Amino acid sequence: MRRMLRMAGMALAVFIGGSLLSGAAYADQTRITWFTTEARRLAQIEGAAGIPAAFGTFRAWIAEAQAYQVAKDERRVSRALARVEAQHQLIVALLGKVVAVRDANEAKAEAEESRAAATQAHVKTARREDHRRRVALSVKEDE
Amino acid sequence: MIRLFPVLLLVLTGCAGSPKPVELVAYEHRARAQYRSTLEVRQPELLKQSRAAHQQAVVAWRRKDADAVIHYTRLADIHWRTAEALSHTKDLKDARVAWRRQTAQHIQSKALADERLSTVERDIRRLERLRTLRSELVKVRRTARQEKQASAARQRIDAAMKQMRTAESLDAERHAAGALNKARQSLQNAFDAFNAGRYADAGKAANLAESDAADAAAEARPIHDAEAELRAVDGELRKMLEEIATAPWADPRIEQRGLVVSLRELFAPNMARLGRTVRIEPVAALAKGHPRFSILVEGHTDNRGKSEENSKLSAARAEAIARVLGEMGVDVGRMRVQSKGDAEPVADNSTARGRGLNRRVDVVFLRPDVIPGNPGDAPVDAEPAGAGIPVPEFGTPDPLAPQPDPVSLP
Repeated sequence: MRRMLRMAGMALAVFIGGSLLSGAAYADQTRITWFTTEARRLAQIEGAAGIPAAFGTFRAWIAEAQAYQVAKDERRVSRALARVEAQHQLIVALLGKVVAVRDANEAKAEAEESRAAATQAHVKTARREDHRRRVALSVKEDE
Repeated sequence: MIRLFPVLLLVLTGCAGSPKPVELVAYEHRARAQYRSTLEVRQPELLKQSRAAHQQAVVAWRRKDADAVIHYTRLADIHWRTAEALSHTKDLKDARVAWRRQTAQHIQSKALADERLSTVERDIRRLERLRTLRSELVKVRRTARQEKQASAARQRIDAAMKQMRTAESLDAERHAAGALNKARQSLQNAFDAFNAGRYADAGKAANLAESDAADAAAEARPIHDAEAELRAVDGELRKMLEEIATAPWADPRIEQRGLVVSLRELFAPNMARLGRTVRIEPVAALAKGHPRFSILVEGHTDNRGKSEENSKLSAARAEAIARVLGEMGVDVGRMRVQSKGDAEPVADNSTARGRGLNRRVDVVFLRPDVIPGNPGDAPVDAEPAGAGIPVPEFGTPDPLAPQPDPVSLP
């Protein structure tokens, strides 16, 4: 009886352990799949073409995680996914920076354009004021 | 000592650990950057994660776990770079806000400039309109002044032309050719200046032309008037000749000095008594009808007797005629008598007919340009000048007076 109980306990432990392990493996695979999809989505976003190295590293590490997943090297899968997650965060930040750079450049160009327009308007106004002074002077001389 | 150096080097090398990976060194270099303080403020969580990963990498390096060193170093680097990217994004967003603010300021500034420009443009249009109006006013005034000058010049030219016509009517072409040509030249100058729009010059030239034409007229007028007077005198003399032609015995004729009417067959030889006064009446009527002429009464005799006596006789005869004319109403102030004696016979004295023709009195209606009389002429007196020579009274013919020889007029 004890032996049966010990065997049942061992079987249960093996089952639980196996379930846990298979559950973790499943979760890692889900994350790898999600990151793969996310890599494709992010690649479509404007500005993604400007950071090819970051995307290359991102995809390489996803592939590395996938390889470790296939090899069932849980520890390296975990490390690779940690780097993938951090790289994802970096790519999102870089894309935001790209957009911010574009917006800042547009704002700068707009500001420079408006400054040029304002300067031109002031120059034109000054020139016309000078013309007005000359006309007024000539009218006064005519008197 | 030198022998111990390799041994010492070998001991030191053996004591030293493995070198840090390049990536870890690069991260540590990056983490010492000046930008770190800003990142610590803005992204403290990411920096904390980065430093934790770096700490684990250092632990792994000390454990000589190369795989873990690389992993944690990369992780730390990614976190640091993420923090940098987010911080830069914030900087860019701040810059964008600043640019936008500047843009708004520039737009506001441009709007102010545009508003001021519109005011200036309005002022310029108003001033230019004012200037245009003043310019037009100046043009109008100039045109009016030019028209006034042109009108004045035209008036001066008209006056000069009128004066020119006056001079030409006075035949200045002959009598004052120099002045008239000068006036014509001045008038031509006036026309040229007028056509060229130089009205002031035209007026001056016209004034000069008028002055020259007036000079020409003044120079020509006396000559012209004299000629006209002469023509009038000639005409009147011819008319008088026609009038007196009804009395053929008067032998009327026009000579250089005027109209000569010869009264013949009025006196007997050596007598100054008038036989018939009826023949004098037409002459008196002629004299009264043409009072402008001075009258010279010339007495003539034939050549019988002495010359001195003849002279006296002729004077008596002339005075007798003059007195009769005066009594018939002719102004005696117009008349002078002259004694010619027998000096100017008109016929042969050797015949009775000739002598009868020579015993005559010529009544001369003198032209105005002929000086009436000579120093020897005598004005007509109320009393007869011929002393001792009987002068008959009108209306009482002397029955003793011999009748003149009957002569026939030619």
